[in-house]
Amino acid sequence: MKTNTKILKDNIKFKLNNVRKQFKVFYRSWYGKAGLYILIAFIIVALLAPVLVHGNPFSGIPSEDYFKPVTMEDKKLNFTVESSLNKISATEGEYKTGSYYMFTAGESGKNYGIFAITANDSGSSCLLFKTNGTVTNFMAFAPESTSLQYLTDIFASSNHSLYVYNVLCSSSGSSVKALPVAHISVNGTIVTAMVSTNSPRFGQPSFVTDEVMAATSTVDSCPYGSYTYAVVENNTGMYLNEYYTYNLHELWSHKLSLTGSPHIYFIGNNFITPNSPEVIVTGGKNIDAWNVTGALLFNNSYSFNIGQLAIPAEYQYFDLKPGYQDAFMSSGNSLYILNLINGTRTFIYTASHTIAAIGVSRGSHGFPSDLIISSGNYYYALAKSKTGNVQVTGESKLPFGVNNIEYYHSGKFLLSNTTTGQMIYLINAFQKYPYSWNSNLKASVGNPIMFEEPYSFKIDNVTYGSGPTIALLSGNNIIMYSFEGNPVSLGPTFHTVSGLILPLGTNIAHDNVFALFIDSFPPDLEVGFAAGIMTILISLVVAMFIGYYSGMVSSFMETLALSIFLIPTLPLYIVLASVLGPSLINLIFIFSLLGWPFVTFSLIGIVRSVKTRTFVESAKVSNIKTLSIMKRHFVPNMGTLLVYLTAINIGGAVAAVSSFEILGLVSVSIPTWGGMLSSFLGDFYSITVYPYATIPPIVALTLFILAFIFISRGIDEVANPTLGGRK
Amino acid sequence: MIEQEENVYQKSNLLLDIENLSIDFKVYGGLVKAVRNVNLQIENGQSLGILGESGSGKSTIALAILSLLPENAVITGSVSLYNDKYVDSENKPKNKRGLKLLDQKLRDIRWKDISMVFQGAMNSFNPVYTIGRQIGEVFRIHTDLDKNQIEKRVVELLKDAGLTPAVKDSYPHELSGGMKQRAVIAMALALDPKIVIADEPTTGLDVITQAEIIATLKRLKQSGRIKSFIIISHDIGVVSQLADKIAVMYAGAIMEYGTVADIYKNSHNPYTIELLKSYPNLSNARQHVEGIPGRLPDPANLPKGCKFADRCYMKDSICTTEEPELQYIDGMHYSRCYFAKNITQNYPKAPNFANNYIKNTKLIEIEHLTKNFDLKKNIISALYSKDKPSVHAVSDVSMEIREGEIVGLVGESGSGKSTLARLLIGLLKPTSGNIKYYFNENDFVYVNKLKSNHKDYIEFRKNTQMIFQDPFDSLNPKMTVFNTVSEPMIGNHITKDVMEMQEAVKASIANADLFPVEAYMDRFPYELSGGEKQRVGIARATVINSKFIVADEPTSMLDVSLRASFMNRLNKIRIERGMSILYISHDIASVYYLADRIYVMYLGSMVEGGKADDIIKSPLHPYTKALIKSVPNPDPSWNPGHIDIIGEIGNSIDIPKGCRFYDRCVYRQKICKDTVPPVKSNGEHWYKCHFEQNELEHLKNEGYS
Ligand SMILES: Nc1ncnc2c1ncn2[C@@H]1O[C@H](COP(=O)(O)OP(=O)(O)O)[C@@H](O)[C@H]1O
Ligand code: SF4
Ligand code: SF4
Ligand SMILES: [Mg+2]
Repeated sequence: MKTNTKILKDNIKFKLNNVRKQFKVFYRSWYGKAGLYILIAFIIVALLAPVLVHGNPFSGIPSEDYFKPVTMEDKKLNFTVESSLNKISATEGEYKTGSYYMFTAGESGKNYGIFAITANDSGSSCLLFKTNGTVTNFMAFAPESTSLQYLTDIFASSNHSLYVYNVLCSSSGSSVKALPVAHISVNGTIVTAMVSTNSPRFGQPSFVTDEVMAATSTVDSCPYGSYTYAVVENNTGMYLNEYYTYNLHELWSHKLSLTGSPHIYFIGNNFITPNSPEVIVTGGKNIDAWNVTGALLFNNSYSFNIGQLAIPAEYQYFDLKPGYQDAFMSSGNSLYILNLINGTRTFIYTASHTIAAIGVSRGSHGFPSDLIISSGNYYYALAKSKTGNVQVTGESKLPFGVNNIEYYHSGKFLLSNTTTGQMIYLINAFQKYPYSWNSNLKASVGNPIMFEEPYSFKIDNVTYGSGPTIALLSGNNIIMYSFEGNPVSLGPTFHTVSGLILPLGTNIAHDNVFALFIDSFPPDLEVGFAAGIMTILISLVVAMFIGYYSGMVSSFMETLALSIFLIPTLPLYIVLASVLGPSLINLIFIFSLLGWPFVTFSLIGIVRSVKTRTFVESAKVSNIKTLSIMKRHFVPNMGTLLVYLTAINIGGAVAAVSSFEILGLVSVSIPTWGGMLSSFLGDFYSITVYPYATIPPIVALTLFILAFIFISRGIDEVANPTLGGRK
Repeated sequence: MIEQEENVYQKSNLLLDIENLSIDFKVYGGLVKAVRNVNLQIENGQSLGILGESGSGKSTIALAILSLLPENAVITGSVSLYNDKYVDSENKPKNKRGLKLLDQKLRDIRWKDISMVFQGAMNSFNPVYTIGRQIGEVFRIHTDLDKNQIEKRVVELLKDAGLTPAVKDSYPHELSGGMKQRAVIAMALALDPKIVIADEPTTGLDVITQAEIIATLKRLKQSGRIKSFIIISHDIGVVSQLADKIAVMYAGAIMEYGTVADIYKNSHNPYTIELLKSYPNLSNARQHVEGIPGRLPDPANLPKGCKFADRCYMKDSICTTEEPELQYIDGMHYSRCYFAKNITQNYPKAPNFANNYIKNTKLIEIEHLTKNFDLKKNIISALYSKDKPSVHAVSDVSMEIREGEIVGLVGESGSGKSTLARLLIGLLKPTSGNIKYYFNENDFVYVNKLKSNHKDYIEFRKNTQMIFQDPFDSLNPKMTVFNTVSEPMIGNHITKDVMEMQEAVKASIANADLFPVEAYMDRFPYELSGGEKQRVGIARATVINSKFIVADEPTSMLDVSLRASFMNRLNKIRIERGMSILYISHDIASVYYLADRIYVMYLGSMVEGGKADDIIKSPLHPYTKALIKSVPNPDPSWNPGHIDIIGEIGNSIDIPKGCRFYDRCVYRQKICKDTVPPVKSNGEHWYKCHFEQNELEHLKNEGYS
């Protein structure tokens, strides 16, 4: 006696063997084979669609390519810019024509020093003061008080020297001069130097308070003030020195235990209270923090080299407190949170490539609401979840690798690559289409400088000025951009601003035809398969019921099918679509619900004719149950027609989606082949300008339907006598 | 008959001359050689019979004679009428004019000189025109008679064909099959053709009708109304009754040619001998008949030598090398066989059946079984009308089937045989009456009273199987032989184990004589011949050890040469398994051949029953007598003459109140009309009639009104 499991195994083996035999026959048919391969190709493309068109279902063309920033000015300067060191004098980065200057370190005929540039139409520049060598760092800070708005203080460091100058700009912006305030030489080389001050608008102090300026005259009475810190290296080691800014009087000097090139960061409440402010110096694996009085707050050494440190700007205003003490620290591919109070770090994220830049919002409500990092050609937006974990909540491919991120406000960032001169404006890191525009200078630039106040100007009689302004310095040039994007006429084109090659070009709506085409695969296949198969299943069940049984219920069903069939479909569709809403799922639902009567009627005939065949009677004699008779005898004999009908239905559903798009019953944001074609409907302009865009959807639709017809031919050959596929 | 004939025939007397006619059909994947080098001559007033199984090329020759072959036919050779070659492959018209002339000539020949009763033509009347109009159409096309003249001619024709003139105003659906066939014959006679070709003129008709049609055709021929005849049939009985000369066809070529006596009594060809041997014959009583083994060769892929070689009992090595020529025997007798001159008979190897395997225990007994089908005209009338018209398909039928017994059931189509079968098998529920199923002598159940999930009913179901009439329809074309045969095992939950199932199916296929078994398991029906399909039907019916099989006309769709072996197989299984079989057929000879007892059914009612020999040799009921008399006998001396029966079987809706046979009985009296006749029995042999045999004799001698 065989055991049950053995029997089961045997039976499964037998069934598989049968399936294999039938598949062989099917596969021997050229039609079947061709159909199968086409279908497999379609499914593969559908599955790969998200990968093939960089993750944005609608966007083969990055949305940023639709706009480009408007270039306000592009001027030649009479000096060469030390591009990494450009600063602006204005309050909050404010920039006004004729009123403000931009300052940058540069070189003109072996003269090194700080230059001033009027950012107005003349773009003229002049040397403010010379330094004894290349400027290693400089800062420009203006008093907060409007009464003193024409006064700017500039601090610069070079070689062994620190300079503080007082710069006076005329209100017309036509003249500027610098008066020396303090100048010292230090015992060693200044590696980097910085001035502590509040309002670190872009992570760097940009102005000093009235009080600080006042302190310039009454040195000793200054209860608080601006301090200047310099990392000085000599043959005994590396030191951090603290000075009063107004007279560069050295307050203390401590030896540093750093292993790499140092960076200085400030945190704290205006440096008013002596203890809580911190001066953080990082270098290699080490991080040291000191307070104003020169006390070491912490001194840590990690197992990794510290990359960039990003401190939410708001934390620099106030005293550190729980919830307001997280800075972000990168190292290679990893991102850490650095606790600014005790210097401990927590690992939060690993990117696939080196983290090239960190951008962080101000953090006025604790953990910053916007935190993005760039890694490889992607940015990742991170956010703290309710449970306290930091997770990626948005990501998008970038047209270029970003090495500099500037936070603007309300979640907006300016991402740039300072070596290639590419910029992209990120409006919302969590959106599907996150960018506003994209530009490519094709030259290395300094850190872009953002001016918050709009700068109104006119180009070709169009006034711009509702967005902020960006200044870029590059080589001998200054370039000003308006934040406002200007629509790019992408017309039918084969490449975009960001240099993307579009294999099938664009259509008139600037959509990337290739992306649209590929992106159409999943929804078309979904709607087609789901609606087609649902329809067939419903019809099959109903047709069998109506065809096999005669009686009240069956008559009722037939009448119901007939009435659904006879109701003008379009209004019914419209009603259903508006009640249910135009989603893909609803669409499938509606198609199946309304599509079955037609198929049912086609099938009833066969059911009735099969019912009269003797083999059905014979099955009854063999005691086969009705349901089993349906399965064994009816379905196989309907097989070919079923597959044909399925093919027709799938094709029909795919076609119907497009007509729904025309009628506005389906969101056009679902890409479909039909949609691609329907845009040509009555549009003779388009058809003459880019007729090639019709080819892919037509080919796809045809092949898709052909695939099913071929497959049904193949299935035919499995079971159909006359075609004799078994020989 | 090629060279030798020239001097025998006087050319002047030669009506139709078919010379070296070959016809190939171009089909997908090759050439079908349908007719191969056929030479036939018909003299004025002579009739030719073409005998052969289906596919042997008979109809193709007929179509060639009328030059009506389809486009894909390639013709070589010629056909001439009175020495006028109107079909000639050597001399085809070369231009449009020639074509037009030929066309004109052919149009004259068709119908005026040669007319044809097409196979199945009776079903191709246009349902919306009256018969008269459709026959009149012939005159309207070919003559310029006026309306009255045409009507007169139509009436004459109908009379000639044995129909009443009133038929001319009938629509095709109002006529029975026999009447329609007569109308077709009338149409063929319309223009007094010299030759009438009749292709299977009686196929599909009931025995009695067939006999009457044969009689009519014979009469028409004798009276000269039909001058020359080409009669095409697979039935030796039909051909020998109507033809002077017979050509036996096999695989597109003439196997034997000669007079009816030459062929029937003195055949010199192994194929003819085997073919004749496969017809069971009433007069041969129950002598063992054997079919021809194997199957017809594939016409697209004919073997080299003698086409019959692989089925021939006399085959020698020479037979497979080259095809033999027609050999002259004597007189007009030719045979295509290397050994035509010294042919040996192939006597059946098996002895005649004994019937000692019948037990006396009953298996199934039916009592007063009645089945009426309600006719629903439409929903409204079904709901409201009180006297629903109904079909009295089976009325008050009682019979019993014993273990190990083959019970024959005969009757014309429409007599309710199939309904009775389906009642017995449980496919239909009886209106009244009982079906008893005996587990053993004393233990039985009323199956019609059981619920379908009752264990006794399930047991009954398991033990009853059916073999269906149409092998093409009773196998699901999408299912393999294995799946088909295993169906009763699945339905009756015999086993869940496929391996076990496979073994059982193999055994059953072997039992049904399909070898090699493995080769059949995965075949689909299209890969089987008709005979093989019907054997699969046997295999299905015997795969589980059922006790009872209903075989409903199982051989009617089979080729003659396959019928005998099918019947023998069925009998063998019965003997081996001791099962009971209800064998239903309108072919009385085959029922007689197999059955131990026979029941005769007419219009829903059993009219006679008894031992097979008694029924055939001494029928008692007038209907049985007519039935038996109408069976065509290949013996040319057979003459149905006048069959004592009126008209054709009626419908089962307006049935006579008294004797069911009243409308057709030649002995009927007043009493018969309203009083149901009693059963008169003589031991096991009984019949249902008001009159004793001597009374009937007396009534007959007085003549009938
Ligand atoms: N139009 C056609 N095309 C291809 N083959 C045909 C055609 N008509 C008949 N045949 C084939 O020719 C052979 C002889 O057929 P037929 O003359 O009808 O035989 P019969 O009348 O003896 O039954 C068969 O194999 C048949 O399948
Ligand atoms: S030639 Fe040979 S095979 Fe053919 S019929 Fe004669 S004996 Fe048989
Ligand atoms: S009962 Fe009357 S009608 Fe019936 S068969 Fe006898 S004689 Fe004929
Ligand atoms: Mg035929």
